[in-house]
Amino acid sequence: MSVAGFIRDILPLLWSGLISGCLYGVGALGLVMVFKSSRVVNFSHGNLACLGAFVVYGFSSGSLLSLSWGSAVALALGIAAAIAVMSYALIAPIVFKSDLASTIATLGVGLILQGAVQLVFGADIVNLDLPLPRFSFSLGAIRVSSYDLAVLVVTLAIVGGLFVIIERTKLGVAFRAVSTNPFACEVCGLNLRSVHLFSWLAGAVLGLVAALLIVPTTFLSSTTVPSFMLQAFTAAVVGGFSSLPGAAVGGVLVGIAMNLFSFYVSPEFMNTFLLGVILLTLNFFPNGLLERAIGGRV
Amino acid sequence: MAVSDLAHASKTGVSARGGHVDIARLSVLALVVALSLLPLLAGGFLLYSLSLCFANALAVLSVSMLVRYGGEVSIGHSFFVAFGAYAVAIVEHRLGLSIAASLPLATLLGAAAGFVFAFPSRRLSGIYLAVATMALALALPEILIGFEKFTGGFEGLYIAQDLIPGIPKALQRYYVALAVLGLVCLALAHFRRSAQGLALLMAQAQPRAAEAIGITRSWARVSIFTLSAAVAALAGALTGFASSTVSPNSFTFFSGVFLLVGSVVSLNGLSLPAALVGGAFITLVPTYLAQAGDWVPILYGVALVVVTLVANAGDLRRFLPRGRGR
Amino acid sequence: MTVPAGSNGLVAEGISLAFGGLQVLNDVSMTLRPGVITGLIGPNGAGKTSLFNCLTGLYHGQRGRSSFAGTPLNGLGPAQRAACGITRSFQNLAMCPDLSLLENVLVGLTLKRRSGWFSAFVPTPAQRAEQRDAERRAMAALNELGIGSAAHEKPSDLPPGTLRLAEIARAITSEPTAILLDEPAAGLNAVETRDLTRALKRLMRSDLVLLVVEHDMDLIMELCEHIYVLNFGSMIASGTPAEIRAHPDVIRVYLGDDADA
Repeated sequence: MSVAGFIRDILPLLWSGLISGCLYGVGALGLVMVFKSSRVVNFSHGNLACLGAFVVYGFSSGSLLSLSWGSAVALALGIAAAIAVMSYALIAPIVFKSDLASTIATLGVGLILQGAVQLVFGADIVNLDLPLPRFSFSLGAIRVSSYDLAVLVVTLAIVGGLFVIIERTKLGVAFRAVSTNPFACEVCGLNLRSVHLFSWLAGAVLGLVAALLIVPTTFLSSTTVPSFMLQAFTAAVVGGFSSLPGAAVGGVLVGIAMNLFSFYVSPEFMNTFLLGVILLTLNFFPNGLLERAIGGRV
Repeated sequence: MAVSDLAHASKTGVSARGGHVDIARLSVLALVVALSLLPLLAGGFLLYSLSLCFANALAVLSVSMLVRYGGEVSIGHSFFVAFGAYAVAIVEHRLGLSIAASLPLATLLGAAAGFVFAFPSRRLSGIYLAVATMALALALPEILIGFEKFTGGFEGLYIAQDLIPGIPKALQRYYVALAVLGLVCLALAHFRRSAQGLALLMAQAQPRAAEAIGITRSWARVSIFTLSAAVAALAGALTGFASSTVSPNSFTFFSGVFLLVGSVVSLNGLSLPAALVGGAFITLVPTYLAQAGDWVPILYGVALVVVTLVANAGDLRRFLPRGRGR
Repeated sequence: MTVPAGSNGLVAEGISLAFGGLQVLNDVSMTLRPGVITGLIGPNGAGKTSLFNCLTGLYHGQRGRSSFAGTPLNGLGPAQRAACGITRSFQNLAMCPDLSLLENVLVGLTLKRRSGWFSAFVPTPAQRAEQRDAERRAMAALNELGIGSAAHEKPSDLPPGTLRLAEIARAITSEPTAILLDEPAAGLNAVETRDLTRALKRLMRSDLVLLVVEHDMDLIMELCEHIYVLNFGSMIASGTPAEIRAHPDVIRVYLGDDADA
């Protein structure tokens, strides 16, 4: 491989890795928010996002209703939020007793959602695009499309919005306090349940947004979105699983690493590659790759 | 002969618990006798389903071991099950050996794979292990398909060799699976009283006290995962033998989750009846509800949520009359 | 039995420990001699448990050295110190609920047991003999503390006094050379405390290092031959019970405490 060829390849690879990495990061943020506040790894994250994406498809494509894309998304957000509240309500009685039991319960919720998607929408493979004007332009060796810009804008808006909520609002202060020391918060009269609910709702919204943005690059089926969440899980592990900035940066790192691996090594072993990334991270950087740079417990 | 051995050994297996288990001991004995005599009455399809049931019961047992002794959750044990099944198939295809050789080999290789997998997360909380097992489950299909040269790709491989030539295949599958399952249950009953078994239980319940006795958490984590993976690979070897074929279709992402469902439904029990309940649940439900295919995940999900909630809502029992709580 | 020359028990020298900006221990030294029951007292928050955890390897002080029978302990974790013959009990009862009392004590022998992984699953004659021997030793430890009759009960069915004694039985069953007890009388009634005192005196040997951390002054005064007093992370006094009783700083700390209470 020539140096010139390498340079010609590498910039577009890094760029598209950055774009998909933003989405992995958004997915990971949802996982980390839930984990930070309630110490539960939410295995239904991907299934809920998948259901939400299918609702958007069903309501906007005419298979159930023919609404506009915007109102379908609004409906899907409402449904996802309602399901998030219900799943939290289900595990609420055991959430303080056992991390592992609550985590198992989220798997059960995930299975139910998975079955619901298959029942309503079958095993179909469908396309779900974003309603975007199609244009693209070149920036040196990189080709920037309207989709790329949409992803960047949405990601920045979400990360910014989350930052404002967590840094500036009362709820955000409570969230930070709860994730540092739940017991002390209860003693101080903070309502743990409302903080949990906030993080579960935020997690559901983040998952759905990530799913809607990732689907246009592949297709939508009852398995694509849940397995896309492996990228989000890996991003969260790389970021230390309890760090919000870590999850975002972890997403970008995972996105770029996956692109490079798929181009230079093999596109067929992506999940195996992610497994390797998880195991290596756990072994050498148990608190996340960014522990020193930004602190694992941010 | 095998039957009487089992029956006798199962007596000594549970006797440490004290006198009140006499009835339990007798009913296990009756169950073993009934299962041993069943082939005299039952036909081919039932025997075939039950053989798979036994193999799955063993796989469920491997997950329950991890929960009981390690307090860990795995949704990726399908990886080790597949590992064992493919080991049997590949040994037959490459070396021409039957399961007499490949069963022990599969178990040892499964233990090695479990060790390699558990080692990186030895110092972390069980949640990280659960996440890593999810990656394991998702990586499995692409590994099976990707290494086509060994695994036969989408097609998979056939397992044709008998253990003992001359005996009908259906009977061989049935009795080998039943015998291995029974022996593993006996071994686990013995393990519960062994130095290592006690140490693992202590490390799970009181990690700091265990540390002060010299039992490190990382030792406990890696040991129990290695053992559990070995049992899972053994179960896989039986699955391969009992179904005469291995293919990626039998090992999707959901197979690992279903094993956990089986374990939860059997209340993570390590006895023969508990394992059979878990194995039957995940084998027979999909077989007999085949026409209701999409309802199976929902049913499993509901089972997982309900059993987990009930089993962990111990506090609620206080409010019930005549509850066992104090 | 005589103590070999050069072995001077468990020694901590100049231990300092801080969590963030909070100085918990400040240049603390203590020597636990074999054959002597040593007590460590001090008001709540004095740093007793922190010092205790430094000795057992749970915490590592930023400064200072510790050694046991001449062997340096710095950098060793709890499990490695256990392998050196140092065992401890816990302030909160640390029993495994799934195991009987006897089995909870048997666990204390883990490092001494020699049966391998194979015989953990398959009974062999050697393994059975080893199992019987271990059970005999655990039973002996329970009997030594007078709770042998409860051997086959579950911890949840037993009173805290028995469990506390069982923890000590677990600590002594491996025949350690140092036993560190963290508030052994916490949660015990007067009768149970008296039983505990007797049991501890009975198991004392000339080659055993025994440390008792307590806030119960009476127990310490009755039990110990040498006492250290910790306050605000510093060692303010050490000596025989009579010396401690007469020490002006100790009187101030304890009477002050009592006056507030």
